[in-house]
Amino acid sequence: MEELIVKVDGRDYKVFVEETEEGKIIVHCEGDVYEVETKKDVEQSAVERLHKKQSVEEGKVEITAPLPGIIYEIKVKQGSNVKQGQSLFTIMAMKMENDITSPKDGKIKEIKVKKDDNVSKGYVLAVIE
Amino acid sequence: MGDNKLKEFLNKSRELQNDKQAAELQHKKGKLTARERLKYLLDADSFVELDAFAELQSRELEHKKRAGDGVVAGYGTISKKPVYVYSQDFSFMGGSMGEMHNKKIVHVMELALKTGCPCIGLLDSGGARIQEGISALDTGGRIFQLNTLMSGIVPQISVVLGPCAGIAVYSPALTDFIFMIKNTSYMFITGPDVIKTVTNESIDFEGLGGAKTHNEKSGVAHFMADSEKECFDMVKALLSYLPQNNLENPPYYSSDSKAREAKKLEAIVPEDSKKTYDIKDVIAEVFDKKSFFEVQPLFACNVVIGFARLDGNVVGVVANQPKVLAGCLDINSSGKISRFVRFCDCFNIPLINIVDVTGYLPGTEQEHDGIIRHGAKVLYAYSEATVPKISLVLRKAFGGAYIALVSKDMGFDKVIAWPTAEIAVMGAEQAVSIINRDELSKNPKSKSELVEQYSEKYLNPYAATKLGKIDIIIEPRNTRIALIKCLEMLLSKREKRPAKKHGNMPL
Repeated sequence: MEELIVKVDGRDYKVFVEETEEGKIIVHCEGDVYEVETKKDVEQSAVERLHKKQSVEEGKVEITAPLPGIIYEIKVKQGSNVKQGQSLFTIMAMKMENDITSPKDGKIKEIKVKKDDNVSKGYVLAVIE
Repeated sequence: MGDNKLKEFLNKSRELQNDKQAAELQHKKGKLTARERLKYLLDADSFVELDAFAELQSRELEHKKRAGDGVVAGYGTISKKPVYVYSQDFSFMGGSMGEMHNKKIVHVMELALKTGCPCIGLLDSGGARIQEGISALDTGGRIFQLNTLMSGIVPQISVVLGPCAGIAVYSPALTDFIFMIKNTSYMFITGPDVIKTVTNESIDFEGLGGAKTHNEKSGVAHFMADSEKECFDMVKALLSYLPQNNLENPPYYSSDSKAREAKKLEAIVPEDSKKTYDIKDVIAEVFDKKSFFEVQPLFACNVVIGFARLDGNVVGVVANQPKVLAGCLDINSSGKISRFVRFCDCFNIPLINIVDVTGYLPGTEQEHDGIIRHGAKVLYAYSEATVPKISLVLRKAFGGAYIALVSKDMGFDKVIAWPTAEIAVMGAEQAVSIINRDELSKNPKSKSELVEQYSEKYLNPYAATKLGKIDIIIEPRNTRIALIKCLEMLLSKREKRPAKKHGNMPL
């Protein structure tokens, strides 16, 4: 608990502020108890939740080329187990090595391209199960 | 006698506040009632209802009449600032939009416009009330007209909390931001049944016009929430970045040190311009801690847009995302950028670009779908914007993307570059194969040497500084401090444009 002197309309008040285990803020002032919600907390939690949103695909998923380019690197083999977000291929396009990542945890069922292949947008690179 | 009438009136008013039938109906579906929604969204005890006793006028529907006509409208405060709101009541005739229902909405909108306060619509309606005929349609037209008149004067927010079908979709579409809720919100012009009979295509509500579809695929919606309460928290968060109207500045709120060095940047951005990284890490490091509020985080992810604070001042951030499609500009991201830039310009929010991109996406698909007219939107929006415009070049800024996102001649007030910046018409290999075509046909082996010469001569920020195209070159760690200084200098910027009715933006 923290002790603070707060000036409101020219008068000094002695208040005690405590933070509970659930992160709530309780203010004690002249025998009254108030539960306080800080403006920042409400907004902050909304902002943070926004960042966490991600969709997970289910079942058999085809990995397709998001843009036209050249297969620069194949990082997995048929039968490899992969995790969501793991890099599977790099496609050289727009002067960059673009990472193609796995949308889900699973097993590579089939790889349909080889190094230096020219792929168009939407071309199926691999199938994950 | 008079007293009895008043008593009866007040009793009825109390009954309206506590509508058990509505509560039962909505709660069963895991939804809140129209009034509960307003209670959660607005500051405690701040709501003042308008036209609570308006009811439908049609004689044939006499038996259905209920005070309020399916919408709760009024005003209240959010974080102590006044807002106008309306909340459709699905429990009365499916929230359908009849004449009086629409007039109540119009009333609230007119007041928002007159008083310069944001207007928030909580939508949960099956569409026009067919039984009332053309008069229901006509008053709906007045809503669209007001949406348009209010655009650029007060922020307009639509929260879709149930179905929103047919003509009802166009009011949200005319507003600035649309929020949707997973598995409960739907927006479409024609429903799955009509689609099935006309085209024999089978699709469910969620797939056709659910929150996910409109946030990821169509780009109609801007935010997706898991629950109604989470959604209202997001609305409050968004409002904390916006001014009340176009004559005010956005709210200032400082939470981070002005002199903080952005030390992590060097580790985040690889020096090799072929390597990718997550631009959101850069944004998090540069702007005030945890202040970035991303807009349309699930649509056209090759470009990241959103509001952030820089030394407490609200700014609109537009950044290439090298991790997705090499951060290129394409049709979807062009629309996403332009609309955001125009919103920021309307409401005095300075723009900061973070640039690392080789250009517009090449390909027949993009060309045939009209990348020329869509890409032109970006040029139009930036040229038109008179708010402070700052551009920060991290690595690549080539060709058309350079003009759109960096060019001082097109109106950027201040351009800052890292030492790794490469500013040129195009990449070295492509440039050499055009400029030195004759030489290469005689001696193909000279290519690598020519590429090196070109890179040294043009692919660095120093050549551009000599031409005055870049104002300063900074070490990455000084990015935050440099941007704050630029913004401070530009905050009082005023720019007059020749008077005209309005321009003709490429659409």
